[in-house]
Amino acid sequence: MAQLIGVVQSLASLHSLLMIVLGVSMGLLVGVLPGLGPTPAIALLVPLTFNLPTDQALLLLSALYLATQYGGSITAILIGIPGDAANVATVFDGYEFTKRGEPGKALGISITAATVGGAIGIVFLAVLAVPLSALSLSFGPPEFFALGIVGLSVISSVAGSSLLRGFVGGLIGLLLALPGMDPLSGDTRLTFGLPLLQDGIHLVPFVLGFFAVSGALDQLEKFGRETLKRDTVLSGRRPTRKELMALMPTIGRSSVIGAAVATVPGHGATIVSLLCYELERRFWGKGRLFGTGVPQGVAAPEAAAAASVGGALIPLLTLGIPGSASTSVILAALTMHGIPIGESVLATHPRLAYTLVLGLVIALIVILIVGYFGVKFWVRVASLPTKIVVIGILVLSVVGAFAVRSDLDDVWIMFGCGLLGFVLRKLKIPPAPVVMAFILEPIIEMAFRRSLMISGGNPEIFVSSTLAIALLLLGAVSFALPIFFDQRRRADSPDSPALAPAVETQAADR
Amino acid sequence: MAMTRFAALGAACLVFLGIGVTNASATSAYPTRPLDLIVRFGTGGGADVMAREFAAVLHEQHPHIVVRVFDLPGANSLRAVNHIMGLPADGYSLLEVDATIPLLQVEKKTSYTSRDFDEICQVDSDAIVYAARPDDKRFPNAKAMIAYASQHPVSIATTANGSSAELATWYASHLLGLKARDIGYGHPGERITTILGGHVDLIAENWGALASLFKSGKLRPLLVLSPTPIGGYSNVPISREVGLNFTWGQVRGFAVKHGTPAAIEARLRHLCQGAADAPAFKAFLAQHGEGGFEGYLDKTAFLAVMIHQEALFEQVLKALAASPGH
Repeated sequence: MAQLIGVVQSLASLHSLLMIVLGVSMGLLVGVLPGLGPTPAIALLVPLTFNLPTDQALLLLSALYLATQYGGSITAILIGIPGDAANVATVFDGYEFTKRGEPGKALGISITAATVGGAIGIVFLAVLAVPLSALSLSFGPPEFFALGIVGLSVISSVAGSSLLRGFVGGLIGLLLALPGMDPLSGDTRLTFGLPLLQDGIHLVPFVLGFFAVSGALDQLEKFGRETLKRDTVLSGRRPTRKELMALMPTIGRSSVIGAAVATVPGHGATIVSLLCYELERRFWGKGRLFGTGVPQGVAAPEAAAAASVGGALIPLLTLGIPGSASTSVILAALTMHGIPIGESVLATHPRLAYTLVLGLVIALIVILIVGYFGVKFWVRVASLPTKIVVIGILVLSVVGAFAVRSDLDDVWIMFGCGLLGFVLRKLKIPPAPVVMAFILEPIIEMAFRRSLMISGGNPEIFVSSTLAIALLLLGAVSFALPIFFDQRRRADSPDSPALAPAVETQAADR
Repeated sequence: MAMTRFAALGAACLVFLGIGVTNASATSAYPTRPLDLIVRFGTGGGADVMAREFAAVLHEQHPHIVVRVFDLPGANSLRAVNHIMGLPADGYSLLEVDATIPLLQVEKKTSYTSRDFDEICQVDSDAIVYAARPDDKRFPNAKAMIAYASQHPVSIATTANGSSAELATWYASHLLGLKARDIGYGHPGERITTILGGHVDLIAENWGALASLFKSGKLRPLLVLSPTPIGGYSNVPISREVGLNFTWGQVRGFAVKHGTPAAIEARLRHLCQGAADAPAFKAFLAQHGEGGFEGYLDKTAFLAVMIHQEALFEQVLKALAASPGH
């Protein structure tokens, strides 16, 4: 009881509330800027927290972390560029809403999913932290490898109308992830003598190039061929309550899966959002319609990304170990405040842990209010003339790419990836398999090699645990099913106009 | 002609005097703009956290001095090294250094040598410790660990393969006759997770990163590669107690580009010593449980450490080349 009173007193102070509001505001602003994800934003704020009490510092950084996950969906929906890698999956369907003039609907779905997802993630943190931390420890290299295979298997279903193009895209993504420093030996590989490839291709310049620059090149090509005019009026109308209620099963599922998987270190918002998008598409949604602008395609990844914040904080609070790059920086801030790595905050500073939990609830409410009333504002911004939007995108992308490592090489890499993305667009190779394979390659490679190092080269290690076997089987089924169904599906025309849904139709089908 | 010559000589004297006065006043006023601490690793890592704590303490002692921490990870520290070598030797950019720098030189991965840097001071040194899970009956103590691991292959979670700490661990295992497989992880969090989850047999890590886990009983320290026992853990054997003539402290300090004016270097050393001696910084290091080696070392002693580690790496790399299968 005394603890609870202490927590409420801590949160009831004006300074604490101010830190939460400040964190949310900065998080939304950072999230909207392409490429500037939560990790660099938190890193920038860490020095400012030195003179703050520990609980206020933690509230500020965690609120920012939560808000950036939602903020990145705004650009993903409005201009087809993910604000952070965690919002890549949102682009696939979210941007389609904007193309047909309904960005307000997608933004409304996104804020709802993010709020509910964030709340479920916080519940996980508050109630299931200890048992889930045991789950996070059960994942070793063989299990990570199997999980990576599950992730890679989704390529067969996001390949779109052509499996062959999907596989080619996946292969390209895998190859793009290889150049740079060998993660285990430290030797450079596949750099072709180019210094700018010595550190490999970082995820942020890749995503910015692939989506932002290639999209801008596409627009510029159209400038040359025709006078570009906006023939679609953008509507700021939010989804109805009925439409949102119809999405609750999707949001619930994705939030639970997102929070649970995010407790495994190294599996933050990027992985869980892609995973939940695919699971929703594969098992619960009308798979063929995903990618054409369906509500579940926005709700699933956004709920998962928001829920992953609570999940990623679990190993931090229970084991003193960061679960993601962002929580790694939060841990650095805690270390500066006297809480070293490896120390369970929940065990040694319970009041601080519960202050954080309740503080995140307040942050969620602030995000909901700002997000809900901000829909019309953002739609107005997206309605600016296309030329201005394209130039703005390019400028922000350059800033975002440079900000990753303060390295101009990342800007050149971004333009290179942009050119590649443009060529792939022309060849009708879908972006999803390329991006997924690029993200998953380092995880799979490191897990595979570490597993064999541990076992001394014995491949039996990959089937040495029930968890690994179950995941590998899931991956195999996940890979084979779309190929099987694709054979049957070829009888239908994949380009039939009937496949372009209206949002109301989707809601009614449920 | 004589007048012209005298005039020229006088003008030259005035110019040099002016430069001297300017330098003297610049030196005496140093620093007149923010100092940049360039860290070779990513945000949130041990080096970054130490640098930020050091910067905060320095600023607290000298409020007019602003210290900025920049993380420039990448290319196995070469990015940060190349960056500082491209800056003027004016004392406003300090590079956070550890044993990676001499390793890069020995491996000839950089054209820069120790003569290109002037050490300022060492602020931190942390011994490497072998540890196991307390429920692992194979490793109740160091003697049992050595006996078992000499007969059976064991996997050891270490820092990234090829890093200075991993090479030092490999060498210690080699000298002890262990059949060790080093499994490299880039971040201490990953290493700790993998040992706690039972996916590797042992972990070799800086003492400071595991101190709180030892305190809470989640891990058991077995052997410390230090010349003196760690405070509060006198029952944990040190190198010589197991017949190992090898110790390793993961050092951290600061250096500037060679050619920095001597007066500015002297001022930096004075500032560094002051910050290292500050109770707040000592408390920070103590909380992380570092021990076994001296934390603060002045320029001469720090330089001696770096030269010693360079010689050590020559030895290590020779042994590595002669050892199959690493």
